Amino acid sequence: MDWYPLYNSLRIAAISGVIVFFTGIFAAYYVARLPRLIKGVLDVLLTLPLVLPPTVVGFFLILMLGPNHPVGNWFLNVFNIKLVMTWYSGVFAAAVVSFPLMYRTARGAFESFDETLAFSGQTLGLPNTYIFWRIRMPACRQGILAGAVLAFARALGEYGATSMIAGYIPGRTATISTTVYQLWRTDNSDLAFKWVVVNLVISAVVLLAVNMLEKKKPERWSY
Amino acid sequence: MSLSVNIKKNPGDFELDIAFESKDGVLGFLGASGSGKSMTLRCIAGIEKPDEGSIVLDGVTLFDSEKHINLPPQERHVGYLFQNFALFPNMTVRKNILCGLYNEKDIVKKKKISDDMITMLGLQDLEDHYPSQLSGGQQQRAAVARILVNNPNLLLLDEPFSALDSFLREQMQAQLLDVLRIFNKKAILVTHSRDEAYQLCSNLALLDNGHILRIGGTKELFADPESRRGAILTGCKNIVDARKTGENEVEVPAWGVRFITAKPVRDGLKAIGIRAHYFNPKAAANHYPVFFVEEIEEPFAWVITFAFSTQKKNSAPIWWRIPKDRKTDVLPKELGVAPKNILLLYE
Amino acid sequence: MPTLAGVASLEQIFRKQSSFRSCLYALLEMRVTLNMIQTCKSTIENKSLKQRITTMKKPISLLTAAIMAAACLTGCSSAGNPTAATAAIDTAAAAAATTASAAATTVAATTAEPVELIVFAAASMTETLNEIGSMYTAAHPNVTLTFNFDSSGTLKTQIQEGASCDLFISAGQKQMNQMDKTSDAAVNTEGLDLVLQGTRVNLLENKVVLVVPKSNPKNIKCFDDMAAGLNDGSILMAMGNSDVPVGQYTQKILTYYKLDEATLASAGVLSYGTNVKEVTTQVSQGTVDCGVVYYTDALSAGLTNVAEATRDMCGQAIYPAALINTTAHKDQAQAFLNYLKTDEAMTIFKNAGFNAVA
Repeated sequence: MDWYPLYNSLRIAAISGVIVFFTGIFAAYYVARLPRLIKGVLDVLLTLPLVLPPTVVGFFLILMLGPNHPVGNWFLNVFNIKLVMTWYSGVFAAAVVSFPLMYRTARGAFESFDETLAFSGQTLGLPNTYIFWRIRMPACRQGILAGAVLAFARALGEYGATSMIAGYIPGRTATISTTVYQLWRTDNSDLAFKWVVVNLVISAVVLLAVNMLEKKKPERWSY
Repeated sequence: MSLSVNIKKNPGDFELDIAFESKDGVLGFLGASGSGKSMTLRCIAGIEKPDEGSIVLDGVTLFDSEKHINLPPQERHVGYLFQNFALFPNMTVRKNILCGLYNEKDIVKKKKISDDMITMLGLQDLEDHYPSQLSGGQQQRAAVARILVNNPNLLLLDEPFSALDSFLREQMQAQLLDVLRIFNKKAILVTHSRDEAYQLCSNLALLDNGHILRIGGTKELFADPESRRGAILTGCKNIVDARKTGENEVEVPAWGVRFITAKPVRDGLKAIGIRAHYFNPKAAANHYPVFFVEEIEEPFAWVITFAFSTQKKNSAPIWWRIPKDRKTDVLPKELGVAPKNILLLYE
Repeated sequence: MPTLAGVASLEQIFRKQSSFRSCLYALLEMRVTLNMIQTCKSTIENKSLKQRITTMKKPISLLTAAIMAAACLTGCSSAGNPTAATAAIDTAAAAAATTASAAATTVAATTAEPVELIVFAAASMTETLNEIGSMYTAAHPNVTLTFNFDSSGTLKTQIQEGASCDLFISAGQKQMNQMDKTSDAAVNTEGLDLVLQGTRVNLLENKVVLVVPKSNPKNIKCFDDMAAGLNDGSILMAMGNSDVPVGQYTQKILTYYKLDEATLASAGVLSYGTNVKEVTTQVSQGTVDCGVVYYTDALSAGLTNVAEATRDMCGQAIYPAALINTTAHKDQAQAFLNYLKTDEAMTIFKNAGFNAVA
């Protein structure tokens, strides 16, 4: 059994996960501070990939990154780098579709954060970055972690946009989801089923790991 | 220390217009909810930005709208104690206090200062506890410790005792007073409790609807609030329209009586106030026949509402409060009030 | 069950005609609705449709008479609008005749009872069949053609899973063989018997071509260039996977050049598409260096084709057609299939790049 799709899927999901983790948190933190009108518009734009069909997302990605289109063309001419039909095209697709999950969850977590903690830190002279990483993030830990897991899972299971922008090249761009579909279509259902089981196992392991990491401290009201 | 504040802020339909100067000691902000007390504190701390004005502390300009100066909170050296204490939930007490020493580079010094403070505030066995494991009083002490190690020039206390039950509150008030005295910190205390204001604050500012009614020594303010709002804030229960009828005489149309006052009456008198506990059956002056309306029992006092015989039918009854052990079975036929206890209210 | 088209056409009638006629048609509509409900009920109650229809033959003939009467009325009063009238009759007939579909026996095409034919055809025939289809229904107004275009593999799976289909036109022999009981067991691995014996014909021939993106970055001019480029790993080629007919022909071409597909795949030089559209899109977007598709696909996608595969390379690309043996309209389906072989239909096919089978 060629294990490349497993390696590729995990690699794509991990890289996409890291990108989305930081960009999602960054966006969630700053968008909340913008004036209402801009905040509304940005909110819609940043959440759009969540409600669009993945094939629509894939279409837009090709429209930008394809070799006949502005961004793709530029990269090809200047750096001789192809942005589509490569394994890292899968990262673009996965990152775009999983970004809204991280963004919205982080937004929710930040909005339920007690701002007096941040204010108190400021009056004590703590720098804002310290306050963000050592006070705000730990307090929002649950929400941030949930968002990261969702984003990772979504990236792992991405099919529509990935298939459009990365295609199916065995040994290069094949992911678990595109492999399953191709195997099924070419009457290789047995092998397809094996991959389905692999995917289930990974997802189960990820969720278990997250549950274990989330050690809930006993919450007691002050007495 | 000297604090000079002169700010305006218009968030929505609320208008904040505060101007005052303060020297040493504890300045109290007494006012009803929504009168702008907390917002003023936040502006001084730098958490909120006034629309215009200036704030100068010990010669350092913290904010000046004309010169476009607006120091971030980190640089103002103003400590702020929040109502909910704002201890960082993911850190132990010790770690919280060390946060206050973030800018102290010397590790040895850091440890010494924090250990001293922990001992002084009685937190020795609680250092490794998390805030959620502490009682309200312990949390407050930890929060105060954290602020004190930070060595601020000014302490802002935002209703620090409202999260505590009344028994604990009295204990903590005494403690805080000690702490403030020992560390010689100037502070502004925001409260809506007049007992707290009277006990803890040497000076008092009465706030109403975004501006200061009056500012001055606490005792003087309580003795002579000079305005109806001020009288209400300082706990006067009986406020009634009145007019000047002589150098030391006022008439209350609603009650149909005249009173002699100790202080000279200025022109422009609008009302008088008489605190509930100042009525006296044995008063030498200002006594009139009364009839009683209702008796309300409090834990340690009786509140008896009454009206003067000459009182108009539709006017509100008057409150008289006497300690339980002073109440007689037979209620007196007349009640009076000493001239010095009549508050002259000009607004 | 009436199609959405039927219901929509009822609406059309209702709006276009005068109030007198609207009443008439409203009555028809009521009748139809009642019939629909009864059909549903009978299906649930497990009576065969045929049984149900037999018992309803009398009301149906009444209905047909009513339609005729209405048709006459329409014909008389809207003399200046014959096409609208025919259309009205057409649609009225189609809508009202849903329950009568199963009862049709030997009915001449023009005056016959209305029929709906479901045709499954390879995606490469979309434009041509749609055009031929409208020509056919114009001449045979009682026939409604419903096409289902998709990759031949998908269609075969659908038929196998029980989808209603009267006529199947595949883009390759493999899919048809997989359903033909007379085929070799090695090909018809599931032992399916879905092809109606005696109706299978080789309808069209397509050419397999090599296409390149507009800029042809790797300067590929013929199949030899393609083979060389694949061999040394310098190009990326898009091809249909083994489930796509043109993909099967591509495999044959690779074998002709003595290239091992598995080796090429692990070298990462092959990009597999699950249908021809994926291949043409990748070539036209320029995300691959070349692709192998049918001539008709290249034409409709506007792709530059640089070479045509010879018979040695991959044999003939034949499109077989056959009736499915579960069809309930054997004669009408056969009539349509016959029409596809006429010169009229072949002209349309030829314009798109197909050929009649030599």
